[in-house]
Amino acid sequence: MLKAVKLQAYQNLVNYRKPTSFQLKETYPLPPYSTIIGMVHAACGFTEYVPMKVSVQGRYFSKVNDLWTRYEFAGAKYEAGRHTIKLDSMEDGNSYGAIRGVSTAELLVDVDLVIHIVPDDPTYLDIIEQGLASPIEFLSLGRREDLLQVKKVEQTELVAFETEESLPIQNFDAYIPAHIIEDEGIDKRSTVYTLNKVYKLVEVKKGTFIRQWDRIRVYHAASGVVTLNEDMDLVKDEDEQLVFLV
Amino acid sequence: MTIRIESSDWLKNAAIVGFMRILDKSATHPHYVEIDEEDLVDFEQKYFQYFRNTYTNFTSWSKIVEQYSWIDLLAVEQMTEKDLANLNKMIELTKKCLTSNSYVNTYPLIPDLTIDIKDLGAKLKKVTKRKAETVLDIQVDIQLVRQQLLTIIDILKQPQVKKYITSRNVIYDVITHYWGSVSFLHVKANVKDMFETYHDYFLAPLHRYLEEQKDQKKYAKYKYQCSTCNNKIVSATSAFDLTWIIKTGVDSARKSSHYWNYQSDMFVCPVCNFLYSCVPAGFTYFKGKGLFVNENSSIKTMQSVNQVSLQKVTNFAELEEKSYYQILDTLEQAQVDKMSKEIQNIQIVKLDKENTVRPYTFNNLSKERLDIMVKNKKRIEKLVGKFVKTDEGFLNLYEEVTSRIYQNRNQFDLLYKLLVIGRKSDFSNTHYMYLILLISNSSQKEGKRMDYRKINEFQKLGIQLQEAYKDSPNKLPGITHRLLNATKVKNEHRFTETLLNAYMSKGKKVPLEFIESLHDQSRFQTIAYAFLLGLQGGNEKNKGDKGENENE
Repeated sequence: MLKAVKLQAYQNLVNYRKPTSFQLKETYPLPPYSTIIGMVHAACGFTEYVPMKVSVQGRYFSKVNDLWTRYEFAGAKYEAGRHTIKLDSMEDGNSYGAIRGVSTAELLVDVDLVIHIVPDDPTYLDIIEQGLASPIEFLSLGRREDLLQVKKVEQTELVAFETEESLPIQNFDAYIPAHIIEDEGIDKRSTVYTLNKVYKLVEVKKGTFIRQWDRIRVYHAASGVVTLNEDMDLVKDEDEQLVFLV
Repeated sequence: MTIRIESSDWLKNAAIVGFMRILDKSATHPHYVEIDEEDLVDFEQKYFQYFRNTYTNFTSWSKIVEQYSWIDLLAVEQMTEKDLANLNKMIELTKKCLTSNSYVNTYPLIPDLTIDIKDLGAKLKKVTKRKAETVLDIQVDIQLVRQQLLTIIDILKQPQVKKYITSRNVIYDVITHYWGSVSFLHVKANVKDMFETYHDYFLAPLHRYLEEQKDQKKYAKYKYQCSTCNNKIVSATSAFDLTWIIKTGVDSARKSSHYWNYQSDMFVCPVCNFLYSCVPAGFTYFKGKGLFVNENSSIKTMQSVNQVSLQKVTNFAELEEKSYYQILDTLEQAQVDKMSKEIQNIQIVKLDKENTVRPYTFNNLSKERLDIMVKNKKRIEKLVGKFVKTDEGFLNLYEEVTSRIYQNRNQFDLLYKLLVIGRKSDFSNTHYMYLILLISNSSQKEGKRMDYRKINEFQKLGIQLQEAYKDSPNKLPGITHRLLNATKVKNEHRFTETLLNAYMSKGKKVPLEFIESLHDQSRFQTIAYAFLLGLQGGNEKNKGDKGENENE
């Protein structure tokens, strides 16, 4: 029987940044898989990728825009016209330049999250539960300052079932992987996102690596709007909460 | 072979809408569009054609050409001083355009052009009239210049000349505000054929890429992934980046701190690179400002929401307002009620070319705010184009009111400002303040809101008191001043005190309504401002606003 670590948490003001947004840091409506996987790894002190499946559900009250101070630099020598900040190095005696400016971030307000984590190797279940309950350092999800207030961490059993009649998404919005519902004709009024999950390092030029992501297409199914059809193979946990693993 | 492009963030979405507009197609799937190789045939022509069709009326070419009939019909004998001034203005404009760099660089590109247009422009001279002379004395000069102008316009109207000149116009009028430094906007490309440079920079790599994709085996081995879609790229050198899109991408060489490990991973495939060149077409652009509504529940809705006609628009506020109502019309009231959060937060992206540091601003339009807009549609419409002079400049009433709605702020500080201005200057247009008060009232939460009839009542009480003070008008400003200050800081006690004084010194009874209503803290400011409107304002009737559209 498949078991999962179920995490229930709350965040006050948070930004799950879309990687392509620079000028305005746009946010996804729920944290993407990569962000959660990263947090779990940080909480448990894993230094290598522990393969896992994740299900993300949650809700937020509203969205606001807020200002933040942006620092931009590339370790270049200070140039008076270009940089606004001069950083004098004690080590090599050089001066380096950085630019300070104002930018905008989109923030979600009052986010409640329900996250299921299923490590491929079940022996990790206890470690992850332990890690999330008493992490090495405070937990943050999103930006570094977006603290995660953990309400409950527990292990729960997952049960496969088939919908007998149409099933509305309730209480929490969910990321539903496209392959589960594609061509099944759910309500189309949901936005599709392509989310990052895990990365591999690839070498772009000698000695320089970038992260290349495995991406997953998901529907952002809003509660109260999207209804799942009958005869679908789904998974739920002990509390009858739907689970959409990726 | 088709390529699928999925909707994503606002920039990509604007690009998709732009692309579909250029092809004049509508989306068939809610979340993606497909580019057919056939669509790309002569795309550079379609690209410019779209911009020409949409924006020609705003170009300098059009400003010259549309004068044709005026010049043609000009009867020299009956010319007034004003006509002469207009003619000279026209000469100046034509000369300036025809000899400007962007025009001069374009002439050599026009096929089969034998006339030296620059020379024609340079030869144009203003008609001068000495004090002693009449129009008739200089009619020979006028006739000559008139003939010159008509000849020039005839040449400008030739299809090929028109096509090239207006294409150049839209580049500098519209496109350059969205992207630059590559293709026909490359520093060295200003003398090159824009159709060719567009093709060479955007379309040729795309065609090559599509050819490559056909070799599935080879393609499968490609190592890199486009950062905004799932296409693969063979090497980092064959990829593009997004730094050429103005103020949205970042300079990956000088500002690498934006990226993981200080190394840009924003590789973009030729498909996306091409697509982003369509961003300017996704926006609706008007006099230096652009607007895009990122209503991303489906591409089709996004297309129709952004379908705002530029006809009859005289300022950006009107365009913006039209767009908001377009959203409402597209969604229909029934849907607005049912809308979920995701659709509630519609992102509105505005571009302002004057703001070079942060050209884009973003607003979220929520269901509540849309609701306020719907209920107050007629009132808000009446504020369009209404300005109030202040010490610092002009207040645009429409902008002031709507921006407060979008930012979820109340209108009281605006009312205060207007009343203060009204005391010092001759701005006493009570009607607009009254409208703002009604808008403010209807955007209050349930329980804080008042019946508009109550507001009228309090305004009437104000008018009555004003009349009572007719014989001692010097006292009124002092009373208003104190009341206004008390209202601003929500000090009910001071307000009541002043009020009692004001009524008592005239030996009048304080109206009962007051005593009852002032107990209600939440409605205090609405009541107080209504009263002040009456006290300070003119006696004009509130032109038939009977709380229309009021669904409370």
